Amino acid sequence: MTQPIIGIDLGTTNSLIAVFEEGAPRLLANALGHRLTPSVVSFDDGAVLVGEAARDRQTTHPKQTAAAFKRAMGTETTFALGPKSLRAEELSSLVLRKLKDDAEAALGQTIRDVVVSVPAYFNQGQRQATMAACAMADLNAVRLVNEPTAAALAYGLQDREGESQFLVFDLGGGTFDVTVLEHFDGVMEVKASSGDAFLGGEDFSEALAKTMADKIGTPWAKLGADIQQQLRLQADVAKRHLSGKDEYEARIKIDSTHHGLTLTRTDFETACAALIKRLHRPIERCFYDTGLDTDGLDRVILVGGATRMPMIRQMVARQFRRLPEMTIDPDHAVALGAAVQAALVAHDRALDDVVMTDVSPFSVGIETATRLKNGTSIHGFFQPIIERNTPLPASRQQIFSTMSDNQTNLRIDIYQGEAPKVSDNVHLGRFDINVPKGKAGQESMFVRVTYDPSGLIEVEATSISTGKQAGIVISDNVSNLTEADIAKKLKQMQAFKMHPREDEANVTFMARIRRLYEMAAGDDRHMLQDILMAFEAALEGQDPAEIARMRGDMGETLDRIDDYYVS
Amino acid sequence: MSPRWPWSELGLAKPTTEREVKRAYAVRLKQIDRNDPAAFGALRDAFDAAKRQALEDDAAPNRPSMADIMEGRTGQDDAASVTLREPVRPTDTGHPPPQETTPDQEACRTKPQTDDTGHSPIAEEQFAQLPDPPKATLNPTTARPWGLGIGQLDALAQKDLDAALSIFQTKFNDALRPMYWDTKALDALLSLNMAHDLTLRRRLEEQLYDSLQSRLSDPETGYPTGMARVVETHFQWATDGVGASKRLGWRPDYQLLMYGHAQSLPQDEKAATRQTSRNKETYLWHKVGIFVVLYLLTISGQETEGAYADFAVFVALALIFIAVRVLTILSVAIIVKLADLLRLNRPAIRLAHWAFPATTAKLATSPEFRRLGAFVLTAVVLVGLYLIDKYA
Repeated sequence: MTQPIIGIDLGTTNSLIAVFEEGAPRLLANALGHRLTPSVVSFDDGAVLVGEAARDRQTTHPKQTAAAFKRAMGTETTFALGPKSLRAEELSSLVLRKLKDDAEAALGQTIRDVVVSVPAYFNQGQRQATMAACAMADLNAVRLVNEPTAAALAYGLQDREGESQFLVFDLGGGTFDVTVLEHFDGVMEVKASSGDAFLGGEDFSEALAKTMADKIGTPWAKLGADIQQQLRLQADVAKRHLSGKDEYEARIKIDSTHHGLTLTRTDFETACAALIKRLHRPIERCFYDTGLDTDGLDRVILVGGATRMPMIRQMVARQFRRLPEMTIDPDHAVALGAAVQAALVAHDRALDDVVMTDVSPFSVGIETATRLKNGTSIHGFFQPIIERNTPLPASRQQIFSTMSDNQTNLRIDIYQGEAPKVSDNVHLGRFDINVPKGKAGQESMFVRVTYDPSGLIEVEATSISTGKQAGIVISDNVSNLTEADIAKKLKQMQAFKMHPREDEANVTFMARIRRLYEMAAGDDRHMLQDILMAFEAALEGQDPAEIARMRGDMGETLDRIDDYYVS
Repeated sequence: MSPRWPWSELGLAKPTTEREVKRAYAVRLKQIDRNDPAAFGALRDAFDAAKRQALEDDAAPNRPSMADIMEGRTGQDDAASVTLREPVRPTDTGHPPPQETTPDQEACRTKPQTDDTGHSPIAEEQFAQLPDPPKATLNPTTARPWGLGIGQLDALAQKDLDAALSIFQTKFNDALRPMYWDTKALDALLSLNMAHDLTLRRRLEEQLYDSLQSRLSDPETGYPTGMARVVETHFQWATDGVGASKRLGWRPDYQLLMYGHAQSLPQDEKAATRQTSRNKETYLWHKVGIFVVLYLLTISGQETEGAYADFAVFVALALIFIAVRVLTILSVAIIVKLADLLRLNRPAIRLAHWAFPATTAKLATSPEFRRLGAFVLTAVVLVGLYLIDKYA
């Protein structure tokens, strides 16, 4: 049996998994029958919960739950979940494992090779962390695909013969990417990518939460972490409501006092004005790098859940003087496209006439020093060799020479980024090359950088006088971890027991009742307590049919309460 | 780029239209090993060269040329020139798009229309909220346009773009006076909606660069943090030096200026925080060390006296030490302020370097420090006047 072709969208807020079969990508549902699995991890008596149950537990068990950890990918930040403390890639690997289990159950096959999407503006460190997360979930990430590119693939597949220049505006939960592409004769060509790795829907929720704090009359900083978290969740709900309505009535409980506040769309827009401004910069960069202007675009495509906000659509419409498109659900496009990319990597017959070329989102270069006229030297200049938005694969070289007399050793430090000072860029690796003694500037060498579409960066220096070579290969793969390390990590992560799949519906249901109980007041609380007890009794009874029936009946009541308090 | 004839690399006989070049490229791209940088690079270079040639040969380029941009065509003020080019458009690609509206037509559209473009329909009210293209008519209602505040410029731009632009430029030049930068005004101007126009922004950035360049060829000097902050917010030189170098083109001493800019930006604004905290720690230990030495000195000097006297001497010494330190800071603040008043920025910075080798010029050139200088200066003058009044 052939391996299924799998694409995964590992998002800040939600994650999805899709399979490519019979010439088209298809999303796979999780154990609850939903296609979106919230990227939230919670610990419950040593067992790991991922998804909706964990999301509900954010309210009831904030200390055992972690969310939005994708923002900390590639950093040393750890999240405390009860007694354990985990890094972002470890938490991500738990989400991946959940997706993998669900997909295996849906397909009846084991999954190993996958394509995972990352924001185009993720740097090498963040990409390496994503690869590590895959390895820890026992998945082999054959390729990382940039999220806007994936979305473009999903759209391009709908209209294979078309010819157009288009822009993908991808505002996800935590990251923002803009990509300009051209599509012609089955070629999907990325022309430029830019973005902000720390700007997304979560920031909009946070801004709204702060407005809510202002309305209550307590400064944001003075609210405790728990209340801040509660406001954030409420803001998230309010945000979704304000996309459809002009006004939303929020009910918030702080220290057993209930506050009712009216939020208007104008409030929301004022709170987010600064964030909207930040969206302009990457767009500007993209246009500059492609030499295009807004009139050169044929289509503007919105991707990412946060683009549902009317203010984003207005901003896009105003900026590009064009109606944005959302024919594919903005939450689904990336996962579908990741599956298409997986099919491209696997050379699926259905895609023989489709080719995709991507660009390097960052510049890659080396550190140089300069001698001033007065004799002092300054170190730490960044000299790009492959500039950003160069089509991949690419290979470029430049000549560098010695700076002092009788210098015999040249150190090559490789960096990725756009800042003029190397210390503000991401360090990728270093190596030394020896040259013969000579006057300053007499000895020189070629430095060649080769960057291939799978994210492999190869740097090679050749001394011109001796022909000696030295070099280094930097890959997305976890360069600082050996095979043994990965195996150990994998074992460590497998030690975490996942909640049994067949239980998931019940666990999620219980978590939901508890969350509502936490928010509700007065009579509703009593009713919820009754529901909780009745449901627990049914669980004791161990009659699956009866439990399912109760879930159905009570679900409606819960929906009503949910409607009143949050959604 | 490629020394070879680009069209043969693409499998074409002779220079041809952009459409043909793209088709040929698509065919070749599917044949080559796309993971081989050499093969891909050669094809890519050939494609770019052939495409450029095809576009140049085209009588009617469908995108605004560089010349248009240089002339300051902002892309929203002259619908007329767009419509003029319209009739020639179908010939340029040999592929008239049958159902999609051309971008140019859409740019001219001012009223909501039925969605016949194949785009997904999104609420029409969004279209209604698109700004109408500004009309180039003279507006007699703005009686004293030069007295407008910066905040009103956006509103004026909606009515009369030319007037708004010229006021904008005047205010911008004002804020960039050679010896004195009005960072607040600069920030406000660059934050305006009208300043988001790409062509205008490019010009402003160049102007900013030239202004900085004329004053700061020496990266050691740095420039006021406030200015660095404004430049960084709007042009990201420190985080996107590569982009800036592309936009600005080759300029003398470009690298040094960028480096100086990055240097004078406060660390926390560049997300590198670990280093500063360590510096703070050593600074603290340095201070504690001084007091310990002082204490040991007092003890060793007065062996026979009681412990209480030891302590008193120590406290006295410490107080003198602190007083001297504070007096130096205050007097330097006065001198820096005076130098600033006399428009002698360079000597003031030198002096600050000399007086505070450790904290460098950043502190001394900060506006807070100057405010302190102004305050102390006033205080000294007042006390002096009082003394003169009393004894003379």
